[in-house]
Amino acid sequence: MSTAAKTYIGLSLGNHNSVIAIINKDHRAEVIANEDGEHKTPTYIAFSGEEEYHGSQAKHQIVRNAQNTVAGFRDILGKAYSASMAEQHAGFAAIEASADGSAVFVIRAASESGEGAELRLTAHDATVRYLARLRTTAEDYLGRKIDGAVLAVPVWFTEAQRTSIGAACADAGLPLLQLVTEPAAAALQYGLGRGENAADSVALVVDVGGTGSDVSLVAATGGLVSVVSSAHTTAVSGEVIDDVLVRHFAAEFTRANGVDVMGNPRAVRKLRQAVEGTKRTLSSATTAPCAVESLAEGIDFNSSVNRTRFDILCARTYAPLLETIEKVVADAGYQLSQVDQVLLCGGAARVRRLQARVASLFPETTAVRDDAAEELDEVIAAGCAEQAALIAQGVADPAVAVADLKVDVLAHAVGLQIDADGLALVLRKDTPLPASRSVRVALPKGETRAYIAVSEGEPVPPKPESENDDEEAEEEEEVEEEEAGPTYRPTRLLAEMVLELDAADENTRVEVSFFVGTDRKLTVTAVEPVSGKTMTAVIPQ
Amino acid sequence: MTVDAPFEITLCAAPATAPAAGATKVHGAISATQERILSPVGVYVQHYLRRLESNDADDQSDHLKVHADHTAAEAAKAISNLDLNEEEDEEESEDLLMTDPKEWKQQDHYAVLGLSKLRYRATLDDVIKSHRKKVLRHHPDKKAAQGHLNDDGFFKCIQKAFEILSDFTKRRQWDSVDPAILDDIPSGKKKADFYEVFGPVFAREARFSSVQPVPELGDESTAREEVERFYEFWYSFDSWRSFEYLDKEDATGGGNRDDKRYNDAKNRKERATRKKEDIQRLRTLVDNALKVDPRIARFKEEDKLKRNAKRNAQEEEAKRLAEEKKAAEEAAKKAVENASMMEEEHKKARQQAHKQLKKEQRALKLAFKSLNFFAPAGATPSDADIAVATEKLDKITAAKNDADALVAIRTELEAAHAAGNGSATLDDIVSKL
Repeated sequence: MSTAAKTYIGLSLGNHNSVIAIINKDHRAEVIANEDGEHKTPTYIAFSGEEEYHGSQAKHQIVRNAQNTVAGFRDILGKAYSASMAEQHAGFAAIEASADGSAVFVIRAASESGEGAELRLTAHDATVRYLARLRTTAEDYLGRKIDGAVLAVPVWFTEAQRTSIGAACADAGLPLLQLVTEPAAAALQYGLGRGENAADSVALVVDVGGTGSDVSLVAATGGLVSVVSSAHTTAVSGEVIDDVLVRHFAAEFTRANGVDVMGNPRAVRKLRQAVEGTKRTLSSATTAPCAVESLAEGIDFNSSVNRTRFDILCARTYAPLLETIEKVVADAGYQLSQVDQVLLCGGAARVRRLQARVASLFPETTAVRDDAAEELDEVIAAGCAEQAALIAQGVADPAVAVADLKVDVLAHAVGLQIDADGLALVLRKDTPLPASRSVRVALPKGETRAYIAVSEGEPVPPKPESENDDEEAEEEEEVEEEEAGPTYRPTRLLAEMVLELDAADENTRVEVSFFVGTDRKLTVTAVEPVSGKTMTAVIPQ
Repeated sequence: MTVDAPFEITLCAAPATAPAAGATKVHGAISATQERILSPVGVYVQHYLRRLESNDADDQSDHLKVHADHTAAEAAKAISNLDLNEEEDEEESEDLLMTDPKEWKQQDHYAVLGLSKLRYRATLDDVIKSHRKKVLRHHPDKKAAQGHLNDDGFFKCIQKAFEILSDFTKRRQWDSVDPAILDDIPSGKKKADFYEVFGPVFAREARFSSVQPVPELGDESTAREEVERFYEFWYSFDSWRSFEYLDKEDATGGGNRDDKRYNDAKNRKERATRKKEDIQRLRTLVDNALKVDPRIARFKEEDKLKRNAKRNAQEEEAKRLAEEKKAAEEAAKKAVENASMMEEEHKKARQQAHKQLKKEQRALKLAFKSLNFFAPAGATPSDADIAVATEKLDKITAAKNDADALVAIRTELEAAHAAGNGSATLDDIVSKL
């Protein structure tokens, strides 16, 4: 294979942290550790004197050199300057409008050679510098040149932002193979529509990142993944949770020492950095320490928090996420009970309580999964690496895949009527056209005529619980439901036909195949394989 | 490819409003579609795009069909694993239980965990489950309770086997050299049972493929493209097989740095040689299969026929053209001959007519003489009469160059002469000319 020699990486460029992954020799996603041995590299650049720092080193400078630290440049890339932008980045390198209206970071690094030397860095420049550094990291790790990368961006990225990222990649010497959306990368990594999850399904990707959360409903039919609806909220994020902990510890410190912390920006920044570690520890341990040397006025701070306490403190912060989830599912025209699995990603999704709250929204049959990668914040990068590997193998063609594909999908499910208000699903809602499927059906007892009624349908809404007073009846029903899966009911009859057979018994099967062309013409063909009797109904557009 | 519904679908009985048997009734079209952005990730997008271009109901590359095929293949695999695993608890032979844990490199890890039937097909889940089962049975604490103190040999073997089989890399290294699976390849001699001989071998070698699923050998009815794809795949086979497991350990254990380096270099060389041999082996296998594959022979034959058919057609065309040319030439020749013959006949006829005419002219002349040159009856015609009659005769012969007309004139004159008005008739005839 000529492409086998190419080295393609998957890259998740976050606003907070970035992860590089590659599919290794063993066909497993492997995260590339940076020079400091970390799996994720903070998306920060800092300038001090003549030096330029990236990643953790830059992040540590927030405490004493915040005005020369550039952060959050991914979300600024490709956007025009606005006042709110500057406000959001208060505390970091100042943002000004440049001549062409884009945002520029102004770094007044205290250079040794000359006072007041000023560096104006556009978001593009910052991204290029950062990406180039990531590329070097990956090349050093692998010992080979990188031939290309698959990059993930949020769903809500505009065309301008996507173009800008592409341009930045090109300038950083990192040829962009394909831009994928983050939920698509996550779905790929979770194996949606493949292997054990091959069946058509609806999944909800919940990505709780550093600065915001994305919730996307993803439909997988026949291994094709499409994002049906999506929403972004900044109300729930790693930072928001950090804020809660910062306030908690600040109050504790003030109580103990009578020294104000919240009014001291430097102390807040110190505490914030310490709190991140505390939060992470709480995902695995039940108690986590938080220690800051010389937090304020030379007084050391040393405390700890247990998980219960943490959960109580943060309880309120999860509500917006749950609301967003409900909104996204409703927007897509689905019900919560129809979501087959919830795919978690993003570092902050590790919070146990948050996972439990999300799971509580859905019925027990919905799996809440966090098993795609070793760490949740590596899922997207691993998904990108997977796609990069597919491109390297020649299974996926980046040329057609660079642009997102606009396709027509079915607005309603189409199925076969199995009784007056029951529908057997054949083609799901959101199936891209053209589509064909066939099912094998049995005849009702004692009949020699197959009555084939094709209908559009919708899922039966869940019954209100109050109706089931009798516990036994409820149990019985539950069992039934589990056997039958989500049931559909017909809403609009499309066509009927009757196939007369000479003879039929309980082993007789009729194969009914559906084909919907891009012109919305539905062709239903019924075949009885033994006698070869055939019938076709064409439902024109 | 039919997708079986997750549950059996039984149709309902036809209601009273249903159309008659064999009839269809269309009520309405599918609702308007929605536009959606498809995320171009994964394996099946390419199939979908190809399908989108063709928009053909019978397109075999349909993503749904391909997807269903893959899914069905995996499901079949899972079921066969289940079947194999059904025979619970393989027997532990005396020899197996006596395995020396120090000789772990020689032990059959699958047999130790009771997976000797599944071998490389065992999933990680199978390994974990059987390990748990074995540990419960052979834990030293349990042995001690039964009075066998310090009997932890087999337990160590189990732990070693689990260590290897639960680690992705180590397991692949072990699978690469699994002694229970033969490396033999069928020879390139013609075989009647080609599919029975080569099919299992290819299925066995497929486990080393980095790219899954691997196309199968198929059978006599496999489509030509499939067969070609099969051979193309196997000629560019990407194998993960490696031979680290056979590395020789440093005999002295610790050893010094130089020894270690020497050993490493030796092992690396050994591995490279083995890998090369393996690639060669696989190559030979595919070569052999290609050589004796009856389908390939058939395709070649078909190709030959097709080529020949083309050539034959050309030849026939040439032959036909030559024949046509010949026929045309002959026809032309014949036409020429005909024409000359006609000419001859014509000439003959003309000569005949001329002869006849002359004869008739002579006969008329004689008739004039016998009719006394139309002199009055009984009188000897004078020279003047003769001259006049001859002049008239010349006029007639000059005007009439037709034998029949001359005959008619002669008979008319003879008749008129007998009736006595020959001279008048002659004048009449002459004046009519």
